[in-house]
Formats: sequence, structure tokens, C-alpha cells
Amino acid sequence: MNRVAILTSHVSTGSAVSSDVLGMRAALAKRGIDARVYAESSDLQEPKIWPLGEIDDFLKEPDDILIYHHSIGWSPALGLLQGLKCKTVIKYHNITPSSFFSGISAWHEEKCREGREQLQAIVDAGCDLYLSDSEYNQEELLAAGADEFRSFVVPPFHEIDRLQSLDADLGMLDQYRDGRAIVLSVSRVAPHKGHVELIEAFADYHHYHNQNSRLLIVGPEEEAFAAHSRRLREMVQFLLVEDAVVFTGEISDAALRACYLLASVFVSPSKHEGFCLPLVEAMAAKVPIVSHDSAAIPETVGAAGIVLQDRDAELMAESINLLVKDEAMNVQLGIEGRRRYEKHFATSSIETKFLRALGNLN
Amino acid sequence: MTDQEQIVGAAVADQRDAVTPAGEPEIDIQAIKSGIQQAVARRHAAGQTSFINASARLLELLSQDVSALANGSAEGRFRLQPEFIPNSDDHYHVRDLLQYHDRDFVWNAYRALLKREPDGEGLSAFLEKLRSGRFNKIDVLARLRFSPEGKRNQVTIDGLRAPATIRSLYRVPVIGYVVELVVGVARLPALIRSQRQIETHLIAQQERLANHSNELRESLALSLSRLAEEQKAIARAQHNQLAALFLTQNATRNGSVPGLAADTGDRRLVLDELYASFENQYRGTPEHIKEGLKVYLPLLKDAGITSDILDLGCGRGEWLELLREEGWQARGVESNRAMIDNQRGQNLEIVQADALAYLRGLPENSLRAVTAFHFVEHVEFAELINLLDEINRVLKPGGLLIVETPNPKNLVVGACNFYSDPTHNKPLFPETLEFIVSYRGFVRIQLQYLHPVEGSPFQDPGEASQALNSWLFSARDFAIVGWKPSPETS
Repeated sequence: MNRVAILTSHVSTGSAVSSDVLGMRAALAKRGIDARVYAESSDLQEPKIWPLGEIDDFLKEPDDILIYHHSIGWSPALGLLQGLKCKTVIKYHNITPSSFFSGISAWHEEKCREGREQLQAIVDAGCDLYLSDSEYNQEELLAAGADEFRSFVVPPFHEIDRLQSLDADLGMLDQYRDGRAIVLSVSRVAPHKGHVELIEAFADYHHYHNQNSRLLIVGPEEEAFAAHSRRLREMVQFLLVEDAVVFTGEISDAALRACYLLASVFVSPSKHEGFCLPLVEAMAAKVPIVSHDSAAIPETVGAAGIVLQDRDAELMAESINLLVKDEAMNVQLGIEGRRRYEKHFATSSIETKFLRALGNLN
Repeated sequence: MTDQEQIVGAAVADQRDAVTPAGEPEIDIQAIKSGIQQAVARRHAAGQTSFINASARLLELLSQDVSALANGSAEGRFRLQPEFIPNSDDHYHVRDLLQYHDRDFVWNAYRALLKREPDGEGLSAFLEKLRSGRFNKIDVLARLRFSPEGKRNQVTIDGLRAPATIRSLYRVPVIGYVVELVVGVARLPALIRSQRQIETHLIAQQERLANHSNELRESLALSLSRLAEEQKAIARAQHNQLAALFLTQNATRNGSVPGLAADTGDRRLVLDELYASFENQYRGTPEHIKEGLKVYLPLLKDAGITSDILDLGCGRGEWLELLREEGWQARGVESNRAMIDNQRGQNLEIVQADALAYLRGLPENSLRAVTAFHFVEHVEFAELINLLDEINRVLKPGGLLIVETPNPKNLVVGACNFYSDPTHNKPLFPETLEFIVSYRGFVRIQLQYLHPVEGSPFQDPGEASQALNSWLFSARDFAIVGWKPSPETS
């Protein structure tokens, strides 16, 4: 193995894509391999993100490796995968089906549709190795025609260890440590993330099980989904939980750490996830999970929480209630989550899987 | 399978084992899930329903855009003639244009041959000639194409020259007559002309009918969407009222009424009864209270307010009784159940609810008057502001607010009598309350002092005597009257 270039469209601080890309680079660099990240745009200072134009100066030998991290429609990738005379690897992070954005954001709809088409084109052109964040993603690659014997699941690299070592934000702790049970949800506020179901379920829990409760909706809100965000707030008002639901917007890692410390239950009602990193954050923080059976969620959660088959507010409310009331079960599921995190999703475990998969290139 | 493939295959199996949960977890998630399902089933069996689902669906319905109704009708407009799209290469066949009739024909001929819309004069001149039968469509096309402007535009139109030439021959003296006669005999022009007249007349009529029908559709769609908006507003208001009721009941059920957080429902009732008895004993007889309230009747009468009146903290309902005696329609809100029970025989319309929560459930601009007699001194300052804001919201423009409360400028009231009621919060200073009411957006504010103490021994006009009289024997109560601004008052 000579040199490795990891390619993606955009690298930004704190995003799941960036964590994965930088994690791959770090794992390779640790073993003395010259690995660089190439992207069209980036807001990172460190490590250096290399411009696309210089990639063919770097990858010259047939044994060099190009890893393309695919998460959205981005046209330069296919040309580079086909044009460079080196080994090619795709890391498939999954792409939200464009139908979720239909009538909401034309840009997202187009980018996601493009991404799916490009996935097919990449598989048609053929790669030397197909890496997926999850079994669920791998099934999509296989369905597109990827070679089963060259396909491997490697969970995404993340920064959970760093998050866990942070001191929690005291302001956040003080503000919400008032004896109310905290239901936590972490994800960007987007149409496929299931916030409508989340608010319905929480309202049911709040009114019929425990008025001494609060829902923290943590995550950035985008201008493109402003109408969706407005709708959620209207819903909160309509369902009489204005005093109990907080939209925090994007928050610092220290504040996020505080949220995981405060939470009694983590809820993810998302309708589509290729892996869902926040679930693993919750496991690492020993917070039990309530979620719905969609896409990769069941395989990520395992036995660290309750995965509901039916999207039903009362079922979800009852699940939240059970995990808040039954302290022993709460602790037991929390410990199971931590155990699962250490066994399958700790950085060292992901590193092993990643390097072992790359070993199949030779 | 080669050795290489076997090795790779083994690696795949190894990978999958690592990701799928290995070994049995100690926790039986399936058992937990069936426990949850049973709990929900028990909830249903006990007849407990959740308003959440219905409310969420209602909101979904209310969020649907009714303007789609009007847009839908635009798409379904009647079109008697196909739409004309000019060719980018400026090349047509006469058939492309002959398929249009009457106004559409002239209009499209202009757009095709002169590449502009017709001027009013040209349009009416050609229409008049067409409708009278003096011109046929070929004539119109020829005139436009071979006019100086048409020549400049150089639009190619196949199949025009031959019939146009024959038509133009008609206008050559002598020969023209012969030609027309020959052609005429062959084609019976008179018949054709009259047929053409009928045809154009018919098309004009149809055009008018279609226009009329389209106008009807548009106005119907507009009415429909207005109706839908109104229904939405009603549904919202009903939801808000039910929601306020739900919150009040839920608060009572869970004993989380502000200030009585630890009290159970039973305990609350005991307190309510205690206070109701206290009021019965010390507030005065209903007749006495009614007498004192009569002073406000002219205010309502002069403003023509005889309905949509709400009394906050109505107690036993003396004011409501007075209004009913006038034949006016009013209702009250009272949080003390025992107090409401005291008037049950009267059949007054009284809702048991927290005043603020109840107001929040009302639609805006829905009441003509809100009254509060000896109520505001029971609430915290912040809640008073919220109350005034809610009252301002629910009153119609030009709506009336009356607030009566003890007058602390009478020192006996301010220092002594005020504290006879254990549920009183703080006395309100007249000018302060006047300022607050004005500051929260009410206009034409009046401050009135009421119910002076009789039998003052300080009657002589000396300064000391007058001061003592005002400190000890002045009005026991005062009232603030204000109005919600309306276009007329501003």
C-alpha cells in the first residue's frame, strides 16, 4: 500500500461525513501510510484538505488507493474514479431518498436524486472495494450490482471518545436540571428525521403519563426547511406542549455532552438512516433508546433500546414512560448500550474493520 | 471457488458476525415490547383516548392550502379554441391560422404575421369585416401579410398566395366581375357568405358563454376558498377552547393548579367551599352587590352591547343575573367550583376554569365586553398583564373593559379591610392600574371612584377635616373603564 487519497465533496467541522473521512485518514496515518483528504471545499484548518486538482500528482502508482466517500450528488467523483490509474474504493454513507424532499426543497431533491444515479454509475463502472456504513447500505450497493466478495461493512469513524471526555456545559446543566424527566432527540431538523412523530409521541407522554417532563430537540435548522420548522412549532403549540418542548438549534459539543448527561431517554423516530451516529452517542453515554424500525436503525441499536415496528404515538409514549419509570431497566439498557458501543463501535474496533477490509485489495 | 475467493468469503462472514449482535443479550427486548403493547391495549380497554392523534390530523388538515381550489379552476378553464404558440422559424401554413375563429383568429394572425398584438382599431375593423361577411379569413391574412409592415416582417406562409390572388382578382374592374361570377357560380358565394355569418355569430356567442362560465367558476372558487378559511378558523377556535378545557381538567386532576401544587382534587374542593362560605358571609347579600353593579349598565347600553359579554371571576354570578334581567346574553368564568354550585338554581352560563387559560382558548375579536369585579386584586402582577393582553386580544375592536377593585386610597380599606380576604394578593393603586391598562393598549380610559362610606363625622370644609374625610371615608372601590381601539375611535 503506497499512498491513499480520501475524496469527498465537502469537509466541515463536526459533520458525520467529515468525522468519517478524517477518521479513515488518521487510522492510516497512524500506521505510517501517506494519506490525504481531497475535497472541493472545506472549512477546516487542520489537517490540510488538498484541492481536487492536485490529486493526480499524488496518485501515480497502480497500488495507490482512491477512497471516495459518497453521501450526496457530486459529479467530479465518477470521472476521478474512472480516470486515475490506481485502486478504487467507495465508502457508501447512504443518501436520503429524494422523495422526502419533494415539494419541500428542490435543491435537496435534486442532489439526492443525482447521488442515487451516481451510485449506480459508480457501481456500473466498477470499484476494487465497496465499503458501507451498515448492512443496510451494503444491501443497496449489492442491489446496484456491487461484487459481494468485495463488499464489507465498516461503521463510520466518529468523535464520540472526544465528546465523552469533554466537561459538560454548566449553563445547560443548570438550566435543565430541575427534576423534570428529559427526553432527548439529536439530529438536524429535516423532513425525514421524524420530528412530527416525535412531538406527537412526546405530547401523549407529557399529557397522559408525566407532566413533569421535557423534550429537548437538539440539532441545526436549515433555511431550506423553514416551512417544516414553522410547522413543528405550530404543532407544539397545537398539542399544548409549548412549555415542555425546547428547540435548542445547533449547540456546542460541551452542551451536547450536558444533554446526554441530563437525558432519561433518547428518542429517534427517523424515517431514514444509513447508520445514525447519534444512536451510538446515546449508547456511549448509557442513555437507553426508543426508535422506529426504519432503514439501518435496528442494526445500529441492537439490544440497547426499544425499536418499534409501528409508527404510533401511544406506543412510543408508553415506551418512553416505561424507560423513565423503570429505573432498573433504564440502567440495564444503558449498560447494554455502552457494552455494544465498546464492542462494535469503539474507534479501535472500527479501525480494525477498516484496515482488514482494505487488506482485501491486495 | 478458488482459494483466494474462499479467503475473501471467510472475511465477509467474519465481518458480518462482528456487526450483527453476537451472543444473546441479557435483556429480553421482545418481552419489553409486548409489555408496552399490552399497556397501550389496557389504556384503550379502559376507554382512555388521547386527543393527540386527532389534534395532529386536524392541524394537518388546517395546514392544507385552500388557495389550491382557486388555482385548480384556472387550469380547468373552458377553452373553445386551441392555444396559439408562434413558430420560432416564422414559417406557417394557412391551416395553422385558419383553424381559429373570430377574435382569436385576428389576434393570432397579427401575432404570427406582424409579430405583435393587434391595435384596437385594426382588431375591430377586421372583426367587423369578418362578421359582416365582406372579408373571409384569406382576405385578412393577405391584407396583413402583404401590408408594408407584413412585408418587413417577412413571415413565410404556405398556401396563401393562390387563394389570395384569386380573391384579389375580384377587385379588378370587369375581369374581376367575370372571375367572381365564374367562381361564384361554382361556389355559390351568397350561400357561403350567409353561412359564414352564421358561423361567426355562433362562435362569438359561444365565446361569450365560455367567458361567462369561467367568471362563474372563478367566483365560485373564491367563495369556496373563503368558506374553507372560515371553517378552518372555527375549527381552530374550537380546538383552542377544548384544549383550554383539557389543560384545566388535567391540572385539576394532577393537582398542579398554580399556587396549590400540593393540593389534591379533594383538598382543592375543601378550600373552594371554605372560600365560598366566607364570601357568602362577608361579601354582602346578592341584592346588595347587584345594586352596586347597576352603575355600569348605562356604559353597555350606550355602546349598544347586549351580547358576547364575559365576566371573569364571576363568583355567585350577581352581575350575570343583572345582565340577564336586562335580557342580555353573557357568560362567566369562575375557578371556584363551590362558588358556582351556590348559584346552580339560577342556571347562569358559568364555565369552571382558570380565567387566563379560558381566555387563551377564545378566538380573537370574539367578545364585545369583558368585566372583572373584585378579581384583579387576587392575581399576581405578571398574570394581570397577561390577562389584560388576552382580554385585548379577544375583544372586538371598540370592545369594553371594566375592572373594579378595592380603593387603597381609603386608608381603612388599604390598611385593614383589604386583608380580610385571605386570597387577596396586593391592593392596586388607582393611577397605577389606570396607567397599566392604558399601557397595554386600551384607550378612552376612565377612572371612577365608587361606594363612598356613609356617615362621615368630618363634614366641615376645613382642610384637616377634609383630609381626614378623604383618608377614612372616601370611596371604598374604584373602577377602570377602557376600550379596545377601533378604526372609529382612532
